[in-house]
Amino acid sequence: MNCRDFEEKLHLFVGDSAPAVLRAAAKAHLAECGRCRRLFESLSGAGAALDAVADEGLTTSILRRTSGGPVCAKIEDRLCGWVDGTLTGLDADLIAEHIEHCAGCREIAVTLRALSADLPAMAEVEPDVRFVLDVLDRTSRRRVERPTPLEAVAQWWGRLVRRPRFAQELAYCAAMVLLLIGGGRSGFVGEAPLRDSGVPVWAAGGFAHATELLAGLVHRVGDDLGAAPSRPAVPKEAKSISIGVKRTSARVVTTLDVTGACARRVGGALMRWDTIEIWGAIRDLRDGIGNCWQDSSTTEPSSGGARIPEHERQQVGPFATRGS
Amino acid sequence: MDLTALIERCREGDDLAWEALVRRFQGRVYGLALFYLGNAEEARDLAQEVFIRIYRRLDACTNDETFVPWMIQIARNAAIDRLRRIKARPSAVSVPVEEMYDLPSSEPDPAENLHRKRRRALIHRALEKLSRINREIVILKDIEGMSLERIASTLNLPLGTIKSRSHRARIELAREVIELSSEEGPSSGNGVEVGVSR
Repeated sequence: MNCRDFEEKLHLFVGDSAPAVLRAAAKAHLAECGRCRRLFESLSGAGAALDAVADEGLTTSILRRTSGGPVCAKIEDRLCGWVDGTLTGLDADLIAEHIEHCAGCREIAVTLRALSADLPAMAEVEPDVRFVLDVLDRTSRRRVERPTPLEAVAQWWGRLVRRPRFAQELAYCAAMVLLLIGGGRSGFVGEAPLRDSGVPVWAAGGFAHATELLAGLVHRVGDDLGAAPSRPAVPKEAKSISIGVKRTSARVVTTLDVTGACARRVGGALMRWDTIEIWGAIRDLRDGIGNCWQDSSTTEPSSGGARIPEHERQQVGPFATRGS
Repeated sequence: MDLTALIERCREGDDLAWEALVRRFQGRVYGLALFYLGNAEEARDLAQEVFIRIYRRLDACTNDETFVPWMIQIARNAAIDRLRRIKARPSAVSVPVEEMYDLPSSEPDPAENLHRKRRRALIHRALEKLSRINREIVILKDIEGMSLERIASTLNLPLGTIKSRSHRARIELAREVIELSSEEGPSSGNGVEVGVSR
């Protein structure tokens, strides 16, 4: 048997289906011919190790002449997916087979796998211990709160009520309104006769009545607002403000009582249309209200005022700022 | 501690919550600054600047789930601004990469700690060899864990480009790591085991 005969019948020898006579002839030929022996070994299981070495160059040559060369540059996507475990099925098997034979891709796959563990761990690098302190130093200014419109109105009202001169100003304005309505030449009193003291009886009675009405109104508003905290839906801020208003209204009532006399004098001066007396009386009225405020700010409201229980004031703190 | 609650408290002006937020994310921001700037001092300063920006704009982060990507975006923008300034005014002092990671560690084994530092320094140098866009993709995707969609919007590039580039960038990084470790020898810290098992 020569080499050509052996190659023609090789499939029979590998499959072990050749007749005994032919197998004996082939065995004799393999003993003499090294090329045919290597060919036979590579095709049979015994030559697997040889295959791996021999096929490396052969595969590369074949690929260069067919598909254009090794696929290493074309499998980046699938190689990353294989390392990440997102590649499955036949694609995963193909990559596994490729990197088994390709040392370059195998090294890249190993490095990629190591990087998959290394890179996420590099996300955090702890700076030195002073870092937090430095950041806090540079951001220590308290943030400006942005309240809702309702909260903004409530805060504005709260600030207004908390002003020390609020009750004085309110009483002063109320007195002036009363005077303008009831004390002027064109007021509701008309051309009424004047008494020697400068204030007509009905005008004095009108002032007293108007003062009483205003005091009652202020008091009632204060009471209504003061009752608000008992409602569950009222926010804490509104409760604080309502108590402040209630307390302020009590001061207003007291102020109106005390300044009644001054108001009558201003009214008389207005009736006579004596400008010097008017301004003098207004100045006295202002001073009188100021003194009354001084008194009421240092003492609790006496009569007619809504007294705020001590425990309630401590709990809610109507004039206390939030967080202070 | 729930991040949403923490951010809400920060918005209300709770300084204690703000301190906790800084402590939680300082490593992340500092690490990102290190990758972009490659200089420990500059990175430290930048990280502070990032937190100041976050502090001022905390109300702008309407969705707490997106806080981390939002923070990373702020850090990136700040880093790019700083890089422009550094190019105009080069830093006088440059800290070696190894020293950047020469920080107190909780690692009980000194040898393991040293190996980890060398490994990180090696990867850092490999990253510096990548193109700017590939480096950013690796930083944002593989280190910071951002989604491809968000990276695309951050870098203002098409999603397809990011997808294809992300694999290429990783392969490129792996090649650089292999090359650097072969240049530096076995002590370089590229102690990856050869052999792939699935």
